[in-house]
Amino acid sequence: MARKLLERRTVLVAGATGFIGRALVRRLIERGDRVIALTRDPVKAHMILGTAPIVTTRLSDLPASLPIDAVVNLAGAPMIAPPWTKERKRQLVESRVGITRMLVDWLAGRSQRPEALVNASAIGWYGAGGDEALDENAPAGQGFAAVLCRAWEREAASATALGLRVCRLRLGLVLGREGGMLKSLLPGHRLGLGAVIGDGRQWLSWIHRDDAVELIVRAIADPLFSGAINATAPAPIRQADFARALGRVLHRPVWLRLPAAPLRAVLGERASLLLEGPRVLPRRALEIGFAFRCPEIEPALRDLLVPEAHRPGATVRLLDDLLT
Amino acid sequence: MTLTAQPLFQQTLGRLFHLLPRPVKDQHGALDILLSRGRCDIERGLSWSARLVGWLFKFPPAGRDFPTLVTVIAERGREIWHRDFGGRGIFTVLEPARKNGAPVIVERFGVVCFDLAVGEAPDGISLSVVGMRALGLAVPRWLWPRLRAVERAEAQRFHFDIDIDLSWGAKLIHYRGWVVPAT
Repeated sequence: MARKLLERRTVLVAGATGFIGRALVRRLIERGDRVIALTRDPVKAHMILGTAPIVTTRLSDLPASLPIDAVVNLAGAPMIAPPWTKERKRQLVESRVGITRMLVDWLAGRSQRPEALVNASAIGWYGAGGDEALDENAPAGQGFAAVLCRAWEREAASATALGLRVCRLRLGLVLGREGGMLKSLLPGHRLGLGAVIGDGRQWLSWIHRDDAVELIVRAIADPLFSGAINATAPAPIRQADFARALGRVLHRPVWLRLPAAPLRAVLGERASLLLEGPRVLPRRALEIGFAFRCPEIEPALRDLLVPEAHRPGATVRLLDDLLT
Repeated sequence: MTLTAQPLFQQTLGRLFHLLPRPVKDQHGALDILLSRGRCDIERGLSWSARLVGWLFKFPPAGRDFPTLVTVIAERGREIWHRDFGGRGIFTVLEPARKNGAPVIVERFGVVCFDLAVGEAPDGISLSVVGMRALGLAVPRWLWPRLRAVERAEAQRFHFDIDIDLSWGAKLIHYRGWVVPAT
């Protein structure tokens, strides 16, 4: 298995310029893999990803003779903005279910098929959560996000009939500086305007972006990664505790409260993403033996937000380096 | 499973739903999301009133053999239908209701709602208008559009033939074609 994980592979990545996709492409190239980035905007792709990956706008442009070892599908329009109008819901469906369908149709037409399809899904699968810990066996919940994830995963799972190993990664709130929830929270928190949202008891099932990327890299090569797998850190946290942890890392107070009612009035259905987070545990990933680099929130936030030179022990490490 | 227990048309048709041909049942059997693709011909009425109503409802232009994509999103007991005819889309929202004790489907185009009775037809179903409201107010019967709508199975495809005239007989739109589930 160790050798299999180290093999050089050719990986097709859909959604390669997104927040997770760009980090994945960098990681795969660093590993020595060959990456084919499927994108709508090749100029943007080269600006973000450099010249190392092969960039294509159409699957039909890829020669049938080009062997592809795995497909990673991260494509999907952002969930939190803009408002979930009927048109926006259709776009969210088309960008997830429609693109997954297109990929599976394309795979069906190829004589050389990859070994694995690693398809993004989301913890939106579980719908609104209470305090119950949810693992991969929990049923789909209610609401638009759950409906969307269910159809998305069904499309991906249909590739199993083509002989592919399909891993459906239910991503939690991915934390990274370049995008996602953390990027939008940072300006407010830095100004001392960090807030507890609603009663603050709702869960944030989060994951450090590096861990999300490593899970995908493992899922590409490891046959144990099959079916639904929660991509969340082992220690989900309540929103109030998250806000306070972020405040501590940034040395800013968290004293504001953002009541749920106006948030629901402004965000409508989307407020469920902020106010009704489920408590999701990565049971399968832990069973498989995946070691999270950042399992706890505060070290994860420090890793993302505190420059290396400012972390505890930096002076000692610097002196050590100078003396050796 | 905590999602919608039954598709909308099953709630309305009851046991008859199970007797429908497979393509009709599949097209109306969405429990979450359904994408269907196919082709469609569209005729538009040429009278000024038909043009005005068509413009208000953002109907697609007339044409033949349009590539067609139907997206159905079933959530919270209703279905959002988006029909894309060659790049021009129409949204409607379908919800279950009862009228005079009988189950009907309410189809909402913006501020205008139609109560539709669903009946059996050879190899499929037919739909007819049994009520209309605008801005929540009942519209008198003499203003209801005349709808001839049949959805049926043919050659393992879901075929639709929807012909709508204005209440005074002027043709509004007639679209017919087929789709098959892309999912």
